[in-house]
Amino acid sequence: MNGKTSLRTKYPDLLPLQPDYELERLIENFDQLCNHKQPPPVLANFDVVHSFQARQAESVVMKPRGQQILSGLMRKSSLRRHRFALWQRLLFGALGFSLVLFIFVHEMRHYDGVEGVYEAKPVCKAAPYNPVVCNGKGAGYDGQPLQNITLNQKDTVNGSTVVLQKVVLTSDYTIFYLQGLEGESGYELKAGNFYEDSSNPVGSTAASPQPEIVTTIDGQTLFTINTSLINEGGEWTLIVKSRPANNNFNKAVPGVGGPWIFRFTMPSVLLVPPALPNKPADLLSPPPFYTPAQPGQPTPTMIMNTGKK
Amino acid sequence: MQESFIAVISPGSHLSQEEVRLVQAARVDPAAFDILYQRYLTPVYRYLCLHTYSDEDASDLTQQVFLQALQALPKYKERQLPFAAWLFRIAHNLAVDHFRRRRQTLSWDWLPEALHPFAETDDPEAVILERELEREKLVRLRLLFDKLSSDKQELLALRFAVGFTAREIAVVVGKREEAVQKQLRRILETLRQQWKEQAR
Repeated sequence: MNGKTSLRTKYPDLLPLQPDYELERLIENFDQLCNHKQPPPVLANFDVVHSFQARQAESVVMKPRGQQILSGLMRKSSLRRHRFALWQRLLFGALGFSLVLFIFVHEMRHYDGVEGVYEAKPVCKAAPYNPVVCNGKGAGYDGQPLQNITLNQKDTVNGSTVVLQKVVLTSDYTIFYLQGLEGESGYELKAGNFYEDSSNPVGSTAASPQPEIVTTIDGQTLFTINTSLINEGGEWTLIVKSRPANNNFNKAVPGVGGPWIFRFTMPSVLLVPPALPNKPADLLSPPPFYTPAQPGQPTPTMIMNTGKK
Repeated sequence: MQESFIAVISPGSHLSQEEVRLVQAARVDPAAFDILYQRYLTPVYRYLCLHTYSDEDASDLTQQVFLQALQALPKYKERQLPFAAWLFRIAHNLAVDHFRRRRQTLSWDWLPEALHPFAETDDPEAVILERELEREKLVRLRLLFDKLSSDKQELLALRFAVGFTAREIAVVVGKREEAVQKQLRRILETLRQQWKEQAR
């Protein structure tokens, strides 16, 4: 058998039926390049089994005892490294992203723009005759304004009108903001079980320090009661009295003396620490104590957010 | 040798069944693996010679191939892949790994010993010149082979160094037989063109 026949036998699929000397030479040379080698004696005599066993034994000896136990456990347990397929990785990624997105959207829906304040259930309650607009926001129980309740309730006596603008309730004190008072003034306040007469501390129920009555430059008068009335929800009555200042005592001041009487209802539910909303539907449903306005009476328009820091 | 590979790779053949028995025996008693080692030593070594530049590297890698095969034998599933195909996949992975890790240094090991440039000889000058030409030819061919992409190198190595047919190569590389056949012819045609251009 000559070389060419041998080549044809060896590579029948690569050599065409028609003689192609160039290709034959190329294949012949390539065959020579690839097949002239024989494994060296070191490989021919290599005891693969013995070498494998020696290597196994060596790896066991070389490993510290703890590592041997650990590797044994890893081999048997589910702690063994698991490779996830591409679709599994994509699925987990999508699930993770959806979860993050859901949490983000959920938080954004319930975030009302004030840091640390959560939107709470809006509560609507007002006295039938006195529309109360409570637009304050809770800011905590550490002396900061808790409720800033705008009333803008007017009372006119002898042509003199006094406006009770708003009431600020905190955990430490209560402030009434009034406009239209002239000269010295005082008040009587009945708020739930609380009663105080600024001119007669003896009759007051609360052992509060002396109330502060301040008139500001723009004519606003502030009654500050150093007691928290956040737990005194219900009907409140504020009776304001006035008398001329000492230097104008003899000057006739129309309407001086009053009394101007303000009655309004302080919703007690507002005065307890608000809870976080349970579900979005709660935000829209009216509170259980909501009383619809009677025909011919002013419509209650109180919209109030309470909150917790 | 070529016939035996065909039999080994063809499922259900006598030799294939014998090989399955050998693999099963080697799982229980590693000593049985020695028969498989002797059977595949030469093709594996030649295959690795074509992927390395020194005998030493080829020998080291050959040993590693068989040691890895013995170690992974318990995990090997004969129903998925014939043993020969599985073995050459190990060899391929090791060769690729070796190529990445080691800086290639050219030696004359891959040439037939008689063609080594510094081989001592008492032959007449004409014979020496002829060997010189022969060596140059093989050097050029090796350089052409090195310039091929790894896929093409793999096909040529499996066909020429191992002696696999297109069908067997198809099993190893996971392609269709016709595609392998067509690609082999195309590679040889390209090599021939380059070979001719260099000769000018």
